[in-house]
Amino acid sequence: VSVAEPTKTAQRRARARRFRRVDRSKLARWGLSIGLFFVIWELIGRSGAFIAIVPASEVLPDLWHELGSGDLIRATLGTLSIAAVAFVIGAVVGVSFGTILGVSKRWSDVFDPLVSASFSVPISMFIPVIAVYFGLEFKSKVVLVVLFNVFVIIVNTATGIREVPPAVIEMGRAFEVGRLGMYTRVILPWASPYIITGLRIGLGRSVQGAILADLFFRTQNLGLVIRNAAGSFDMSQLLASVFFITIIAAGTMGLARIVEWRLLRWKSG
Amino acid sequence: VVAGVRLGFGMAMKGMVIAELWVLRGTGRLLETFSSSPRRLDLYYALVLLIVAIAVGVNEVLKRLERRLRPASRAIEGR
Repeated sequence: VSVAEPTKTAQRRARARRFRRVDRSKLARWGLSIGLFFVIWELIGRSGAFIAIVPASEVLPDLWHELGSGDLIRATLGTLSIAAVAFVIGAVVGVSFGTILGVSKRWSDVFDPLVSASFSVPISMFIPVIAVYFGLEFKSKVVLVVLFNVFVIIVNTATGIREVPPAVIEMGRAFEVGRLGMYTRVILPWASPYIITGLRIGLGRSVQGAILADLFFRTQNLGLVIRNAAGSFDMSQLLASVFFITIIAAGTMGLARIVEWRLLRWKSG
Repeated sequence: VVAGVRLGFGMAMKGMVIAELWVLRGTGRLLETFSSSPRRLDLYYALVLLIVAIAVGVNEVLKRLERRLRPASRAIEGR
């Protein structure tokens, strides 16, 4: 323990030094970019050239007021709950189906064209028919969001599994790993960077899909906030909610990136 | 560049359908009208198939173009 301690402390210090160095320059660039964004927004808003763009100095107090009342937070939680349920369903279905496509050449020959096509197809065109079959409430919203996220998870999982080198599987066999163990201890851990990246992208799509679902099915949550603001032509409130949604989406993706980095740390050593 | 155009086209198709469903014009209006009547659901699915065919078709053409141009870009890279 006495030998390991100083090494650990030195490593921790080196990491902290590196973090501080990278962080400062990165933070400065981020600050500059965000500052520029607000300055340009304010200038365009004050110029009066665009009737729909209200200056940031009017939008931000409105956002603060909305947050204080709790309405925006409740609406966001409502939308995120749809995204979360659909994401869990999409993740389970996507990883399972992706594993089958990754392992079986026969199944992948059958389904690959359909799954690849789903990338370029606008899923939102199914909104009217989803409404016919599932109604306008929670269930239909979850179905739409699952369609938004599941294909990217399937493709990433299948690609990750196909990328497992035969030598790794051979090694597993040499260590007499059983059939189930081959999946849980060799193939899936090896494919985990692809799977986790697919889940991260799927999470982003779930948030997008949930907002869309709240706008197109029964208007609720963030969809209602946007529709009310647009309906009453309250541009300040509309921009405040759009700005808040952007922050939530960026925050969700940022969190997902941190989780991805932490989960995959073992692979980069 | 071609990969960017391909991804951009996909996004444009998706945006177009969402926008037209929102304002109920063009394709969006047709999708909404056909799906709201059980007798015209066949037309709805025909329209869906047409949109899928256009989206997948253009995507495939651009993919092939991308593959064809790859050796040229590698040759430039190697110079």
